[in-house]
Order: sequence, then C-alpha cells, then structure tokens
Amino acid sequence: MTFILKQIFAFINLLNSETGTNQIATGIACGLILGFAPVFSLQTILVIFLLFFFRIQIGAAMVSAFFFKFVAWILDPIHNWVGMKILEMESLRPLFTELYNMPLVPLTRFYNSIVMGSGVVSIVLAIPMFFVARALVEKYRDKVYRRYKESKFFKALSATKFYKWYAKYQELYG
Amino acid sequence: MKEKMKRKGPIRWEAVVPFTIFVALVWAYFFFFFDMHARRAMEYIGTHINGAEVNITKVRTSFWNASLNIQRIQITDPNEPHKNRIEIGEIRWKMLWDALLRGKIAIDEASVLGVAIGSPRARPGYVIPPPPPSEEPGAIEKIKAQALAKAQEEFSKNVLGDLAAILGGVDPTEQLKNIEAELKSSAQVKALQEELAKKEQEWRERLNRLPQQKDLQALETRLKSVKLDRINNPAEVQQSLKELDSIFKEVDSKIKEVDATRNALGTDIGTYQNTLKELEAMIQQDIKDLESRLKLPKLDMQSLSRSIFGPMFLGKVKEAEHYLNKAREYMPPKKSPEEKAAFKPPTPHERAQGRNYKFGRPRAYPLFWLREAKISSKAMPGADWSGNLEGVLQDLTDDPPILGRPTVLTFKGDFPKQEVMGVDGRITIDHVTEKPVEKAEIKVASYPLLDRILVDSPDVKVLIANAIGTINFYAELSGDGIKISTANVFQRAQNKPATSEGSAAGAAGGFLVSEAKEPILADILRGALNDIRRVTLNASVSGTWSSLGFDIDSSLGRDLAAAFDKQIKAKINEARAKFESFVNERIGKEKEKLTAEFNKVRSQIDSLLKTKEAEVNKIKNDIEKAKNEAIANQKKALEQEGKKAIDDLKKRLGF
Repeated sequence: MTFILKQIFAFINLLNSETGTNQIATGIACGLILGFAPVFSLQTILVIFLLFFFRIQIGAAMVSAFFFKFVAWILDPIHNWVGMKILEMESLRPLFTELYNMPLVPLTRFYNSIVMGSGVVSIVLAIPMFFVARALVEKYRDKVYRRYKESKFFKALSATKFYKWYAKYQELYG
Repeated sequence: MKEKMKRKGPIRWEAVVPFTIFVALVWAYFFFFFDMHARRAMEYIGTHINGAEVNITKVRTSFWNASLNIQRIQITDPNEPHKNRIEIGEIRWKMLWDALLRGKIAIDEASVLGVAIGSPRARPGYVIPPPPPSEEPGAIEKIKAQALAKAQEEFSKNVLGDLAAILGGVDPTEQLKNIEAELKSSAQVKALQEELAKKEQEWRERLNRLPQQKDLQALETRLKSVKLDRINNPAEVQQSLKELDSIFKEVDSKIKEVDATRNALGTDIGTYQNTLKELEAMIQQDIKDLESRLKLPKLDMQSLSRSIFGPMFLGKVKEAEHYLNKAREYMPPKKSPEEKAAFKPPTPHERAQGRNYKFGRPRAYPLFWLREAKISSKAMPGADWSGNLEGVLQDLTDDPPILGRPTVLTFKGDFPKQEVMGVDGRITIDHVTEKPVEKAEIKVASYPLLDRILVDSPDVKVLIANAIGTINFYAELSGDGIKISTANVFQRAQNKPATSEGSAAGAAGGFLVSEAKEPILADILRGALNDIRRVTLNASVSGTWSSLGFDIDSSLGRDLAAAFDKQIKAKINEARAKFESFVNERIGKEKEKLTAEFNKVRSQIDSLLKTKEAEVNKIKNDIEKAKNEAIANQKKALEQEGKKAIDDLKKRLGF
C-alpha cells in the first residue's frame, strides 16, 4: 500500500512540476504499452529503449505502466479472446508463419494469445490515450493546480518552515 | 524560484551513461551468475523428468559462441537412491545463432563423454514422491492402470507358498465345516425333492381324469346289448352296425385321450430326468469350487513361471510404460484431425498464461532440436564406474512433426568394472505422424546377478545367488498397441567365490538358492535347484492396454514342475478325494433317495397308464370283433337268401 501511495504522490508531483505536457502524455501512452506487454519480451525492451533515449517522461511511463498492469490483468480474458481470434484467422496464417520463422520476431512471443491480444489493444489505445492524457494534464494544471496554488490555505502552508524544508528537499533530490 | 529550464532536444543524451552502466550490469550478471542459475534450472528440470535428483557440477556458457559445457551430471536411480542410474562426465554442445535469433534452440553437434553406470553417490539422491491420482484421469490412463493392476494381482499369487501348504498336508475339515449350506448341489437336491412331490400330484390328477372303470364297463354293457346273431332283418343288421360304430368312436376318443396323457407325462418325466442328470454336473462343479477355495495350485510350468518371473517382467513393462508416457508428453506426436477439431475451452490457468500457437513449417526449426550428439566414453584407470561406450543420439526434439525425423539413439560398449559386457542397443522414437511408434532393441551379452530375489514370501524364498545373465530385450509400442519380449539366460558364474548365501549352491554346482519353512518343500527345492546349471526365461506381453496377454516360459518352471510332480500330485489327489467324499457324503444319499423316489413314481404312473391302455384296447378289440361278426353274419344271411331265391327260381323254371 505504501508503495502504491508513493507512486501516486510521485505522479502528482510530476503533474505539479514544469515538465512538458507532451512528454508526460507520451510517457503515459508508453506506460500503457509497457503495462499490457509481458515483462520479459522484445517489445518491452524496445519501449524501454525509447524511454531512455528520447525525452519521454520515464516517471509517468513507469507509474502508468504500474497501474496499467492491473488493468491488463483484469482485461486478460478479453485480451485472450482478441488474441485467439487474430491468431486463428486463416487469411493471416501465411504472415504469422513467416514471422514465426524469422529471426528476432518470435522473441516478441506474438504467437501467444494474451500477448497478441494485449499488444493489439495497447497499440490501438495508445494514440487516443496520448491525446486524452495531454488534455487531462492541461486541464489539471489549469483548473486544479492553479486554483490550489492561489488558495489561502496553500499560501499559509508555503509560509511554514516545513514547506520550506520540503521545497529545499525537492530542489536537491526531486 | 527555479530558473526557467533551457529547452532540450528530443534525444536524451544524458541517458548514455546510465545505459552503459545498465549494459555493464547485465554483462556482469551473465559473466558471474548466469552459469550458476542455468545449472540450477537444469538440475530442477532434470529432476522432474527423471523423478529423482539430478546433480550437475559445473555449467559454462559462452554468448558469442552460443556454446554450453556441462560437467559431471549425476542422474539418481529412483529405485536405488544411493546409486546413479547414469553418470556423464561431460556434455559439450554448440547452438546455432540462426535458430537462437528465432527463439529456438538448435544444436548442430554435441559430445557426450565419460559415461558411467551404477556409480555410487556421495549421498542418497532425493526421489520425487509419485503424484496423487488425478481427479479425472484420462480414459487411456485408466485402462493402463487397470491392466497393470490386474497383472500385478495375477503375478502376486504365491504358487510356491501354496505348494508349501499342500506338502504339509491338507486338512480341509475346518474350512469345510460351514460350507455345506453353500453347496449348490445341496440346494438343488432340495428343490428337486419339492418339485417331485408337486409333479407326482399333478400326474395323479391327470391320470384320474382318464376314463374310469365304470365308464369302460358301461361301454362294455352297451356292446353286449347289441344284437349280433340270428339276424333275419337287414335293417336290424344295419341298426346293430350303426350302434357298434358309435361305441367304436367313443372308445377311439378314449384311446386318444389316454395316448395324449401318456405323451404329456412322458415329456414331463423326461425333463425331470434330465434335471436329475444335471445334478451330477453340479456336484462336480461344487468339488471344483472347493478346490479353488482352498487354493490348490495349478502345477504346470506356465503357472510356476508366471509366479516366479512375473513380478520381474511386470516391473520392466511398468518402466517401459513410464518412459513411453514421458516421451509422448515431451515429444508429442502429430495431432489427428479429430484432436485438432476438438475445442478445449480455456481453463482458469490458461486465461492468465494464454495459449501458444505454432506456425512452424516442415523442416523449420522446432523450439528445441539436438541434431546429433556423439556419445564417447573410455574406461579409465581410477574411474571405476566408467565404461567403453560409443553411440549416437540423433534428432532429439520437442516437435517431431515439424522436424519430420524420428529420434534415434544407438549405443554399443562394455563396462568392465561392473562386468557388463556386450551392450548393444537401438532406440527409435517416431512421433512424426499421428500414430506414435516407439521401438527399443537392447542386448547385453553378459551381466552379473548377485543375490537377485525371485520369490520372497513368508513360506519360501528363492534367489539367484551368483550368476551371469544374458538378455535380449525388444519393445515395440505403436499407438495403443504394445509388444514387449525378453529372452534371458542365467547361468552359473565361472570361477567365482561363493557368497554367504550361495555357499551351498556354489559348492554343489548350481546357482539358485532356496529357503523354506516346510521341511519337505525345502528338500524338494534343494534337490531340484541344486542340479540346475542354466535357466532360460522367455517372457512377452502383447495386445493393447485394454487387453494385455502375458506369456512367460521358463525352464525353471519346467524343472520345478517335474520335481514337485509326484509328491504334490499325490497330495493334491488326496485333497481332491477328501473333497469328493465330503460332497458325496452330504449329497450322495439325498440324491439316491430322490432317484429311487422318482423311479417309483414313474413306474407307478407307467403301470397305471398301461392298465388303462389295455382296458380301452380290449373294448376296442371286442367292438371290432363284434363288428366283423355282424358283417360276416349279414353276409352269410344274404348269401343264404340269395341261394334260396335262386333255388326258387330254378324250381319255377323247371330246372
């Protein structure tokens, strides 16, 4: 529970920071793909590679991957059904046969029904998720954070020694 | 307040260092820890396949060469955990990167060196307990289990132990005391007695319905009243004849009644007589049942051979069945169209793990494929358990239908220290098509047998003290069919020091040792086994798992049967005579009484019927006689009248 709360607080910190909206939204979309993919697979390595070498918010990706893992577990029966339907399509059989016998592609485990189903669902949902996440982050910053920051309570709190200590801590270690 | 952050490009250059550190950590893991984890994983998997502990001393892998080197593999014998079933000094192989990049393991060539059998372990290996019976075993598993259990029960019959009991003398008194009520013939006699009483009543009632004396007398009176002489009037004659006819018809119907009654009673009596004859067969069956209840053993070569060698052979069959199941589980054959079409709804486990589909092509890489492994081992001084072994394992794979080739293992060699010589084997596992076929041909020219127990029961023990064996083992399992045969020869080991058990046998020349509580049995066994120099055993099982046919033929069975022949047969005949006397004593008298009663009733019925028949026949004869007389008289009268008329005419005409 503590670990989950930590992730939530870290995410809120991120939202309240000056990190770009696009970066956070891309991070959330990548987190969706990460969360739906198997832990040890080629596609996971590729996404992590992208996270490392492109300015995508890693924190947002990791937090959203963490939560999307639970969503994926709940949706496993649907992913299994989608994957089975795709893998059993006769028209795609020659393509799958080619992919199965190619180098590296089998390492994605695309031939597993849950991997295929969750992969297809995550790719389809990633783009709308980017736009939705970006809109939500902008709305949060605009409506919630700014109002909260201009409230009397926050002004009073930011004058306390505790908050000053916290701000210093964030500056050094955040 | 923070400075406004400088706008950065899309590429995170500052991640290079952490990424490098990460790569270094991964390299460090593979360099320092991967081999150890791989070793543990192989030990775990090997243990589960073997059913007993598998230990590996060292594993060395190389990423760039895709090679693997495993040193000292010890595979525990589940039946003797302090020994290794097989110990391999070193296995080396190199995988193909072409297959690895496709997520498959393909080994082009491997070497297996330093093979030893039966080597001792530093500590006993762990044996995995057998799995609990599954809630819903498959139909085939059930059939196999039932067939093997039935054979086990049959081979558990202690023929020699039963012989010991016979030789001690059979006193069936105790067992026979309470058996009388269960004798089927006894119950049948009682039932027949009741039936006879009923039948007698029925028959007498039927006889009473036949024409009685008074009816016949009335007919007689009617007959006498008919005018048969001094007939002057033809009309009177006609009248008399008519009356005679009417009486005749009545008598005739009475005769038919008597005939019908005689036929019906005859059939009834015949049926009852046959039932009486069946009683004799029932008595014989009761005697046989008593014999089987007291376990009088069959004294023939087959029964003795099955009793002595059956458990040993059954153990080999169970071992073959165990390896067959493993082979079909880990190297599944091609699915038939019916199996493919059968839809299996996802199980809860599958919903979390998904279902794997295979899109292999013929000749594509299967998930695991060992193309060829050369087995080569030389007996080395100091390495007491190693042997000279040469062999080849070809096309070991988890997907034979994709590969399109059967797995073949051939090996040849000797293990001089263990005195196992002339080992020559070929094992073929063909799971390419829908009908899996497994064949094994293994010959061992000579191997030692020391204190091998053949019979171990509270009454008798027989063992091979010190011998040399030869074995030719052949097994062919195809689909559901099974054909296993083994030809063995055991003979005395030459120039061997006698063991503590076999000193008597060694001194005398034989290699079989026996012990028995019953002194007569001990003497017979000692005498019979002492002279045996050689024992042959030919055992086979064939058929399908639902109907296994065992055939076990052994010279030891023949020799023992001959040795026991006279003594046992006399005892068995004595016991059989006691049973016969017991049954006849109880049933014989009742049976005789019943037969006498039946004969009496029958003769009475016969006599009554005969009397009736005689009476009605007499009347019939009288009627016929009277009729003939009347006809003759009428003829005479007519002749006289005619003559008279002619005379009158003559007179009138003056002649």
